[in-house]
Amino acid sequence: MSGFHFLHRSLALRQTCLVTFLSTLVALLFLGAYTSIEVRAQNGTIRGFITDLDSGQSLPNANVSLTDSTGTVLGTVANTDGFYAIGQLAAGMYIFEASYVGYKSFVDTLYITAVRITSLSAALESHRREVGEITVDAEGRTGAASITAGLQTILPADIEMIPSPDINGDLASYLSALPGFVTIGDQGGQFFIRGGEPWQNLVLLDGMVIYQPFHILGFFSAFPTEILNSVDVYAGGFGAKYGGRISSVIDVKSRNGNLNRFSGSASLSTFLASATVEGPIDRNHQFSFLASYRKSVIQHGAARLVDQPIPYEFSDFFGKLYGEINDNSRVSVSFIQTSDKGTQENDITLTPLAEVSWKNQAVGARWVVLPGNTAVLADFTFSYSRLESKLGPELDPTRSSLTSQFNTAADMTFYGGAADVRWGLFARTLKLSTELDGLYQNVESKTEYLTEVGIYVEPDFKPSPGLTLSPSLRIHAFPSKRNTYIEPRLRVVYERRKSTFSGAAGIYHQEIVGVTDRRDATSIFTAWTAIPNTGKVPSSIHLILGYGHRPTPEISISAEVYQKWYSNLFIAEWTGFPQLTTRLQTADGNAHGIDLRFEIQKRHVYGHLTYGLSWVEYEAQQASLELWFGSNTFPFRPAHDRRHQVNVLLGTRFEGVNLTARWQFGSGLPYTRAQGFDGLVLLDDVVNLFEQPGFRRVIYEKPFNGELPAYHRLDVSADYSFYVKGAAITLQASVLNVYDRRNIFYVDIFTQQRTDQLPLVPSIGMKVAFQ
Amino acid sequence: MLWLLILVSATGCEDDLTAVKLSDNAFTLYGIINPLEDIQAVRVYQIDEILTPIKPDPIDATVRSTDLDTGKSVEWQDSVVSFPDGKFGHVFWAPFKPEHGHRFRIEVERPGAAVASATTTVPPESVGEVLPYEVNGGLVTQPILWHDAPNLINIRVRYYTNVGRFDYDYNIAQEDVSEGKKVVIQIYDDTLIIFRRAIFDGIQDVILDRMDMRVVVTDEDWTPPGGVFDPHVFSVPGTFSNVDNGFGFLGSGYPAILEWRPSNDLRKELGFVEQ
Repeated sequence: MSGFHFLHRSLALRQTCLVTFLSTLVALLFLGAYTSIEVRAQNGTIRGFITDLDSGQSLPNANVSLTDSTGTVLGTVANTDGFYAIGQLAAGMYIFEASYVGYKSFVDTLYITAVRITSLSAALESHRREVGEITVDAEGRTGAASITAGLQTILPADIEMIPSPDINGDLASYLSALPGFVTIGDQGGQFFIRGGEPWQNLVLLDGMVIYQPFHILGFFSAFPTEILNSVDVYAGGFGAKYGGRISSVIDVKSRNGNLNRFSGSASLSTFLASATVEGPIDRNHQFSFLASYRKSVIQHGAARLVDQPIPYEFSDFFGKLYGEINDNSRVSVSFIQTSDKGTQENDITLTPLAEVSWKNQAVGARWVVLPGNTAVLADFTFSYSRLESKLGPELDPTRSSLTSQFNTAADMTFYGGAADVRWGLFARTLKLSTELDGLYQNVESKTEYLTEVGIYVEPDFKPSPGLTLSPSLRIHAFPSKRNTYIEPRLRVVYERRKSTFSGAAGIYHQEIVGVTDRRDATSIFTAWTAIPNTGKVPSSIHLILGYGHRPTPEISISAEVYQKWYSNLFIAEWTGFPQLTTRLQTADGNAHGIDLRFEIQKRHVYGHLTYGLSWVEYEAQQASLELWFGSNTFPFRPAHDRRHQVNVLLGTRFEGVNLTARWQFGSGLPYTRAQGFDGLVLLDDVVNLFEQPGFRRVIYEKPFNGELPAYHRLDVSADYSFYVKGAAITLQASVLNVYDRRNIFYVDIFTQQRTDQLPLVPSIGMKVAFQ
Repeated sequence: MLWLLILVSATGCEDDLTAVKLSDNAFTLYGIINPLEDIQAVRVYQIDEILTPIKPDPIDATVRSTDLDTGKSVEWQDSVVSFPDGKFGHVFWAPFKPEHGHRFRIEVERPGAAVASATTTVPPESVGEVLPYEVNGGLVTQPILWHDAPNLINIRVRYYTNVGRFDYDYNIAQEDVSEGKKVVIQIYDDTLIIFRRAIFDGIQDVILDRMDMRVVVTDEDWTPPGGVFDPHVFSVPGTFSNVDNGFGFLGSGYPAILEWRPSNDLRKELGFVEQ
């Protein structure tokens, strides 16, 4: 056996041992938690699930309150699975109330005994309302008032408010309306969140990592609105439960299929065709399924309407099986596959149009269990994720990247009344393969294996009414690299009357990086690789302070200031040669700004106004900087530094028609201006100038000292819904870029060819939903 | 209402973008004034607004050289060179042999554009001299003096042995001395490699036949920033440039070689056998 094979087997064996070790540890933790909590449960605890009566769907963030005989109210909020628990209750009579926007409250009187767990699940009955009607959230679970230190929970109803080319709305359209979320354009599907680059964002779907979560046409995410239950978006300052990324987290939770009856929908618009179907699997209504499929029809629809090629196609499939084993145990298995393909101009070598494509695949299983007589919720996740990206001809790509990850995690929550404590273990193995055609000159093309193990603890203390303190600690290690990171974090929320004060801070590290050529803002292809062995690890420190106020039930405002310090980012080196480069240099970064929101929700009117002011600055550390600019570091604005961002959204209902309009504005993004093109003959000897062809060269000004024109666009949408023989039919008409603004996507500096974003695009769609 | 105002005002704007704002400079030039050659040449690039392959058409430029010591001025001829890779280049040339020590100015001009110019001083004629070798703590070094040389680039030392030919790079080894430039050859370290190679090849008696040092004697400006001729570093215009109102570099220099047979004492000291 060769040394290499022996080493390879040895590493694989070590990884297997680690996973086995971790699994054993998870089991021990579980048993430990079980026994310790059993002993501690000297006071009463109530727990259960809050669900929709009609579908059995969990209701995340539902309010639960207990009122004792003295009138004292104890309350909590259900988690994303609809689970709630209140511990440390004295024995006695209580009035139990569960409420959720759009539902009738559930009220019951019960007696809670000490040293006992009381289970009470509530199925809430929906208010009957017209299909398509705007839902007013008088309790402030969504919108500006709900934002605390960078965290916002987004529900499907929020997404449907934003005009989209598709009748169902999309998470991507919603995110692009948030301050601090910068997209390069309609095409490319990449989000820069409060200064962070796309590869620094952690995106999860039911615990599965999704590496490229947005479709190639930027209006669409990989997650159809039809499958969403809730989305937690941390623009920064996330707690210790999350890690491995240094900017933000988008945690998507899918909903479960309808346990009680079959239902489904099908829709067709000029951009998308989609279908969703769900229903019970067994007669006992314990198991359900949910499946969704979408496929772009751009070439047959939108491209014909605008009479110009939109060379992108994509599809996604999502499937989920869900089961309620018993009152205390629920399982689910989710699967997602996405596929994207498009063409983009390559570089000055003018290999005409290079095809870029990628495929996400992920499968995961969750087991949520309430162990016996305890106040603990245990959540076990096993998942496998894969991303395959290619650039170049389909059969012979010049660059490719294959990333796969096996993930196991055990998350526990102890509900202790004055303090809820979350803790958990996780283990991951990653395989990263890259073939980069020699262009990434200081990143080797190779296959790497990484193993990550770690633990975290994240208690929520409630020392006084309205105050929640969440100090947390995450310790994770990469044994093969002998790197261990200790990451303390803190989140604080203080609610007083109609105001909420919040803050968050934390330290973050990232061991894998997405290498792309950010010098070219349009570059879509991303190669995932372990960081070079330079001893420099990308890391960040976040600080967020927020304030929210709800002067009336209909109006909410919020303001957040944030600061992110980045270290050891890997960015493309600069060169004057007219070709794309992926030679890497390290850089430090600094992103800070303020996000403001104003939001109004009335019965027939919804509106929001957001403004983001931000500064992003990188400081490059390329070795040649001293020679070029007289200093060994060079500060500059990266290509995603959008200084001002405004979003205005208005929605109303008139004669049964929902009308929405959205106007968005973004100040110009930086780019590197050129002063012309000459050539370089390397005079490293007494060369014969009649024989030296030399190289073409770009005479760049200093990096990123130019600014593209501002971006702005108005989108409008109208939809009307009605019933025909029990089927809900929705018709939609929308217009993107109503005043046909020529928003620039990019300018090829070499040829001065300008490519604009989408022009005025009318779109129509129809959706049929049945039960 | 405010929103509508913003909207209306915004719709009126159509922003054009000038991605390339042409430099005030019109030309980039690369040239070497070589006192050993009868024909002098300089490569000239126009600064273009759009990146296209260089065309074989004549460019609107006049190239003139002036010997600042004699005042003699010469207009150079344009020529289009077709390179093996299919690309073209504009090389201007003039038939003269410059004198050592004279200063030359090259000017590239066209009507309506600033004149790009560069000045260089042709280095004096330099002769290499083998100085006595030195032994210091068992280490043997061999100094070489290049008389009157302002600067040296591409310094290479070559050993001719019965094991083979061995080349060593001494680019950063020159020292300033009053007589010129001194290069100290680490002859003991170099020959260790030769002996290792001999052992590997099974050769017991190693013979050092002769040595030479090859250099390019240049003017003082012809020194790469950072000590290395790295095209990636030079790709940023202005990094290695002495052209006024333009980009590029004009140097002057000539190749020189010094050959010698190491003394028997030195060969013995190093462990070589006599021929």
